[in-house]
Amino acid sequence: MKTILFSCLCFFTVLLNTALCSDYDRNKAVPVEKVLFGDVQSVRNITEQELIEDKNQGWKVFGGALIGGAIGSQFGSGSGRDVATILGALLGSSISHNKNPQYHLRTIRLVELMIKTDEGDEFMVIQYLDSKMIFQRNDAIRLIYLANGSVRIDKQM
Amino acid sequence: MKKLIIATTIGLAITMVAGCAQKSVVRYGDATAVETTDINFGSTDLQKVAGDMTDSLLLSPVVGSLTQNKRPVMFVERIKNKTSEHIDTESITDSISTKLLRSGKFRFVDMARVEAAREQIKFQQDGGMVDTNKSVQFGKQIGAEYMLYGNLSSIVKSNKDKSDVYYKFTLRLMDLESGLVEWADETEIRKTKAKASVGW
Repeated sequence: MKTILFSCLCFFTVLLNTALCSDYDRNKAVPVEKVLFGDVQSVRNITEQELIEDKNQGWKVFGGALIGGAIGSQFGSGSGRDVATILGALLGSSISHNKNPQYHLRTIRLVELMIKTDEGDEFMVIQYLDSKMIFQRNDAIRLIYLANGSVRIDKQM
Repeated sequence: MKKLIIATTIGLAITMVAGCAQKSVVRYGDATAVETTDINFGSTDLQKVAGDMTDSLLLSPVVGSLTQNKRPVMFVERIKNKTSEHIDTESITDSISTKLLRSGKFRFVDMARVEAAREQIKFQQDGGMVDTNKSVQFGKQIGAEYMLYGNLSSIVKSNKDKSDVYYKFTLRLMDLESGLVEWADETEIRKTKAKASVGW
């Protein structure tokens, strides 16, 4: 039974991760400010680590209250048991809440591209590593300035 | 509690199996049928752009006079894609050059295959395997007289109810010797997508 539940959990975790780690959507018509054309002078794959605060604190407090309440309900009888349950729940939630917030490191894979445009200007662009578009030195590229303020490098076709 | 866990697990398993049981069906369709899957640049746009440009070029009086007594040699420079989309512009130029070649009025040199041609000629000259009397010689190729080049740009506007994409494709023909632009034309495409208030 435990194995089945664990398998289900893993399946949904994989689904969630797949949804979160999507590549650039390069086939979408969005407003563009300007496009420059050029070549890749150098490529460097880098990784960046980001400190993420655990956003599941609320659930942990709830879990602490639940466990505390369950333990408290084992003591006493009658109204004394109710009081013990409430006290246990309060104590459990308090301990969970006061525990230091959990942080974890998220590793982001980036690519650093040195671009030389056809006009001779040089730009350094850092963007997410896209497994569907891997850049090599001397690749002909487009430097796209999107209207939302971001810049993206695409290969020319 | 135990029954609840069992019921939940069975429910999830049924959902997963039902999801996996969906069968995909493959059908052949009309390659020239209008494609409206989404608002982005698609096969219909490519065919329209290539068709409009070829017709315009072949019907132009200037080009008529250029091709009256000879078949000019052209080369196609890449189309500059100024849209946000990753569009295969080589496919557009391939369609245009194929249509022009089939008209019998133009000849083309393929700049994308220069290196491959050079390697073949070098092999024939230096490889020692080809009869030198019958081998292709360096310096005998015919140079292009005209260059075909262009731009593809777009303007995108959208709000919560509607999206509008306007594409403009410009194509020009330049006389390489004089530098004069002998012919130019542009074709436009407008596509809109509105959210349906009621849908099935």
